[in-house]
Amino acid sequence: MLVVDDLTKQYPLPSRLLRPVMRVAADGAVDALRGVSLHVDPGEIVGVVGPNGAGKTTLVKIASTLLEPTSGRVLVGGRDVIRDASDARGLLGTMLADDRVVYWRLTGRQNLEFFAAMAGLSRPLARQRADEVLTQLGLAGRDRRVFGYSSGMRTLLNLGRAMLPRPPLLLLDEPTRSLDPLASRDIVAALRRIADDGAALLLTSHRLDEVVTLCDRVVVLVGGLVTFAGRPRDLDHSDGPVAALIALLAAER
Amino acid sequence: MRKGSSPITGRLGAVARRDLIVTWSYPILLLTRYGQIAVTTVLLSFMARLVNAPPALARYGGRYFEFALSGLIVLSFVTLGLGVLTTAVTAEQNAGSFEVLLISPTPLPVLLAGIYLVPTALTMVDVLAYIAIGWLLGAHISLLGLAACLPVLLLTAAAFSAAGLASAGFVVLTKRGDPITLVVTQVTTLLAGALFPIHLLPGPLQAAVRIVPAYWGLEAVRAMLLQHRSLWSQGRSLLVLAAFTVALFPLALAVFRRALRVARVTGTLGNA
Repeated sequence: MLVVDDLTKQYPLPSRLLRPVMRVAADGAVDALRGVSLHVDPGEIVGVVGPNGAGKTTLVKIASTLLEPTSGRVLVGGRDVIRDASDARGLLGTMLADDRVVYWRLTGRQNLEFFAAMAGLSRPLARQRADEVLTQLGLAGRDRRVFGYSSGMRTLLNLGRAMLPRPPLLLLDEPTRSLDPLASRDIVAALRRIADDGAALLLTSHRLDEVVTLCDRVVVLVGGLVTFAGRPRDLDHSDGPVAALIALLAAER
Repeated sequence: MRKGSSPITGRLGAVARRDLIVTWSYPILLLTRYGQIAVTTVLLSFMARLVNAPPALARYGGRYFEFALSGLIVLSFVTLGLGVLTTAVTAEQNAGSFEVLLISPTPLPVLLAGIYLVPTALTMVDVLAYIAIGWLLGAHISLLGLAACLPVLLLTAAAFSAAGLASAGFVVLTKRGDPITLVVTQVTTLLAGALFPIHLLPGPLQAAVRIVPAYWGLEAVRAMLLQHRSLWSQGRSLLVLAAFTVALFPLALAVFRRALRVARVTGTLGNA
């Protein structure tokens, strides 16, 4: 469902013409991804882990058509995310790691109904899916304006937004961020069910315990390079940078 | 279209509902909007009393209050065309929702069209407010005449929407500061004849004014409202406004798409 083939992303400086008016984060070009290849099949959950700045979010954003790669290609359901971007978007549900991605002046339900319509669902179906997703995520009965939500509730709503159209591929950037342990457990179970129903899931996370529990395969990214790709139970047998990363992530828990 | 999928009208309706809810959630902003309209109209009515049927306005019925009110009505639609997309892009970037909108399957032109719906409706309410307050202060403007002007007003907004779209592209990259809207607004207000007849301008400027779309909108609206001419008699103005739209909009859309592409390459799409 998702094929990432030799993907490279360098964030360039804007052209000299635009540089005076565009604000950029760095003084020079930044190499975010260097020759990353991976795939996610239907029914599979692949976790991408790595330290801060490893390129996890860049990978998610390229696959979701928000960024253009420098080289390489990404296919979603066989559609190139650059050449066939609009077709690719129809197959995707993306959760970005930012709880501002919903409208704070709308209620949770209003947000979901809006994004369901943007995903192409008819109004009756949008209402139905909004109800289902709110119930599934434990937000039904707590429908108020999003600015009254906790950060955990906003994370859940963000996840719900991605799930609305039942997409064949879900891209989830830190789906359990800000969630309490019980909510995390429920989300992990929900994601497993979604995969068992046939969807392909790519998620990024700093929580190695969840990744090991939930994911069928794990990809470790360090400095934009894939340093490990395999089954979670094989991680303990790795050495070098991966072992160091595992130790780092374990220490951060 | 697959079962359960939403036609374009459904998506447009969803954008409009969202915007209505957000607009209604800021009631003080609405109150100040109409307060400002009231103050402006009252100010104009007093200014009109200073100006007693000058020869310069003979062509427009001689009454400055109606002349200026019609100018403000047209300027409202100029502002609509120029400012809606820039305001929307800025708001979405600040709210953090710009990226999620762009990754939805809704085509960009549908999204852009939906963004115009509520502001267009609000602009029509603004115009009704100008007329209603104007009536209370003695203005002679026919509601039927105003209704007949609607195609001209909407075409005027459309003609400026190209500049609005280009400036929205500018804001995608720069996040703050939009020189296009500023320059176009100042030039339009100063030169197009919104608040004074253009034949008071120096000769060369009078010729130059004809490249400002608002001039054609103002001439048509005043002909219909103040000289009681029909919509069909304003064919030349309608054609010019349509020509501006048809000629400039595709170019502006290309500029906007290019800005989005630059933002996607540099990774600055979601920044505020």
